[in-house]
Amino acid sequence: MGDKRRILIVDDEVQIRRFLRPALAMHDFDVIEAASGAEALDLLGKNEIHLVVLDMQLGDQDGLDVLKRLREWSWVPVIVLTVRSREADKIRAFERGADDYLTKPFSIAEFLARVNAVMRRAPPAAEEPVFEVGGLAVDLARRRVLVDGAEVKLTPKQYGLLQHLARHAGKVVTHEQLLRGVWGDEHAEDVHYLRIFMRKLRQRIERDPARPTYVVTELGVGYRLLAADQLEAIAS
Amino acid sequence: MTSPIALPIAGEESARPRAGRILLHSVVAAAVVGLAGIAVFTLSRTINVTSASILFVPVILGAAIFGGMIPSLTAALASLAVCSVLFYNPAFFLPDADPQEVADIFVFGGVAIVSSQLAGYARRAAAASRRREAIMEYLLAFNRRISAVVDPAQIPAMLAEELSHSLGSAAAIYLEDGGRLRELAVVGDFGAMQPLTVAEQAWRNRETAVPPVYLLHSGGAPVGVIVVGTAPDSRLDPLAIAAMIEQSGLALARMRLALRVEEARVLAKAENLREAVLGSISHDLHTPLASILGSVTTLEKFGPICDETTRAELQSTIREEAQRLERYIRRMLDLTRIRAGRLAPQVEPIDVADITNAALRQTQKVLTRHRIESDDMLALPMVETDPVLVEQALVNILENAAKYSPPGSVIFLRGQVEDERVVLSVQDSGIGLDRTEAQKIFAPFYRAADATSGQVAGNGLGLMVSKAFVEAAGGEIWADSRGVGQGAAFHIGMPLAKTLQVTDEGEAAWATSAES
Repeated sequence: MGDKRRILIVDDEVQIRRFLRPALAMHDFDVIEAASGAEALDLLGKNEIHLVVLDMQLGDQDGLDVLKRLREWSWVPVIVLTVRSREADKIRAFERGADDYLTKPFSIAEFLARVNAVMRRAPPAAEEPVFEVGGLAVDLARRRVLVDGAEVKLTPKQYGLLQHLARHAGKVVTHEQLLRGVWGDEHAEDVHYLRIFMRKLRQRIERDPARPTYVVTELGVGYRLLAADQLEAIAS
Repeated sequence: MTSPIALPIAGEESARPRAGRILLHSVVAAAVVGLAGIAVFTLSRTINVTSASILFVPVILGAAIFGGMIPSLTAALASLAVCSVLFYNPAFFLPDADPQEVADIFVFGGVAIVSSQLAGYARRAAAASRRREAIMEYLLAFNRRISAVVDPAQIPAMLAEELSHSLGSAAAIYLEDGGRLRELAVVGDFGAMQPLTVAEQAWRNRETAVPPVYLLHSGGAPVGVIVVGTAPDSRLDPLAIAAMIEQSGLALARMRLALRVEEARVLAKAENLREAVLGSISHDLHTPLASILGSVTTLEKFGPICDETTRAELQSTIREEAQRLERYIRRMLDLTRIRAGRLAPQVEPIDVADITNAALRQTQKVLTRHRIESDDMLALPMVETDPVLVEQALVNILENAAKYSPPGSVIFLRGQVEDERVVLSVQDSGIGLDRTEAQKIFAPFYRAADATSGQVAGNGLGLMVSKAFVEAAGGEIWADSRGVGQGAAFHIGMPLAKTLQVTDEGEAAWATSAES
């Protein structure tokens, strides 16, 4: 396996760091901690780090500012931690290059599933040609979609949507990212398009389109195509 | 709107008659005497007139009543002159004058003086009574208008309007408030004059009623100052102005009293609410914390000697109580956001199914002991709302349904289109509501009567939060019930989104009518 994957946890609450550390260590991560934004930026400059878990409310500065500084020179995956009642922070975090978010309080299972999803696609070269979750398989090389073993015909736009989600499987893809990616920049604001096409896409790929299990709506933010371990976490 | 009533004009009768008018009256009186003389003289040619002078008395009397002292004296002199020319013998001016003629001098003069005095007095009395009547009428109308003002806080503005109209100038009202003058109302343009400075000076020096500044009194103590733009028109009755100012002072004092009573009432209500909040917070935070602390300390002390089931039970108590605490804190946070006005809704087109699915995911754990039966939400057209706020409202309603309906019962989730909106309904089989409860249930700290016995945990904030959220998201929320014991239904109405027709290639066109 070579070197252990290294995670930096940035949170001014020692209790949060204390409960994240053992779970990550048990999953073979090397954990380093920072209690402030300045400390985090310092550690990031000196160490090779594979994932950052960043709290939005740090004692010394706003987590968003740390994210902005970080993104000036690094594309390391970042999961931000927010609290409820600050929904607007999520969108801003995505705009500044966050890969995913978690709302406090969260369970450790949820946290590990997000970490795994983000880590899986961390090196872009490792993109797998076939994405699979539950009974859904997306063959990105051959542009084929299988549901429970049977091939499903999708229109180019529907496939475009699914492809985009599959490339970022397990992570939230914002409305804007999807609209720009599938329809082009001029439609970045047309959430309406997205809703209609998502409905059509779900009718093709979901077992029960009224209670979708593969593509989950993140209200006010975007959509998430669940990764296999996330699907299991929900089912259990 | 009634227009302000006019202030009475000071009566012209009370003013001194002008010289021109006296002259005119005197000339007329003399002319009438002359005509009367000619008439009497003509008459004495045919019949024997024994005492012609008596016939001039009515003329002098008339001049006294209509003209006053000088015209009536003129008439008396004219009468004497006419009599001396026409009737008296030439020896009139001699010492041995006819006693009849001497008597005439006294009769004419006496009648002129006495009757003109009497008439003048009567005229003045009538004028004064007319003036009093006008002032009374004015004050009555003035008071009627003040008492018609429902909101006491509106009284100063109305008074200033009235004063400004009556006096024909700008008007400003200041009331003493904690030792300083506070501006209550200003109407009109004061030009270069600084009404507040003028008012403060009058207030300090206790200057009373020096136009255009009037000190207001109530119960003998000064309460405020009225300043008007210019000294009032001299034709306006100063008595009426004084009475109006006095009434204004009384009205303002009454207003201040009414406002203080209202303030005290609101304060008492807020005090009650604060007590209720504190009681609720204390109970709702302490109960789960006590369970968590108790379980944790038990695990610490006896964990190693407990059997596996006991340990698992203690752990799930900690988890459940922590979740309960989280729900409570979430709600308090929501409440703080509502009160701080920081809801900032993000309205977008969304499928109702997305909202219901997210809410059901959130409430999965709370609803494990109930069965959910849902309509096909995909059959509904899209709505235009803030999905996050509506979802949170729906979570509160679902938690509520779980709390108030018996385990094992069914909770129905219904969706239908009604008057250009989608109505999402949660129907439970709980204790239900009566008609008045359905209205009150969204008020803070309201809890169903049966729930207050302590069997159901909660703080009566959930539905209030739901209402605020749904309304902020542009929707409506209401509750009804088929009756007590028949379950309750909560409805969320959301406006339909514009319908978009989309081809599979992603081309789109807005449709004008709603269609799913």
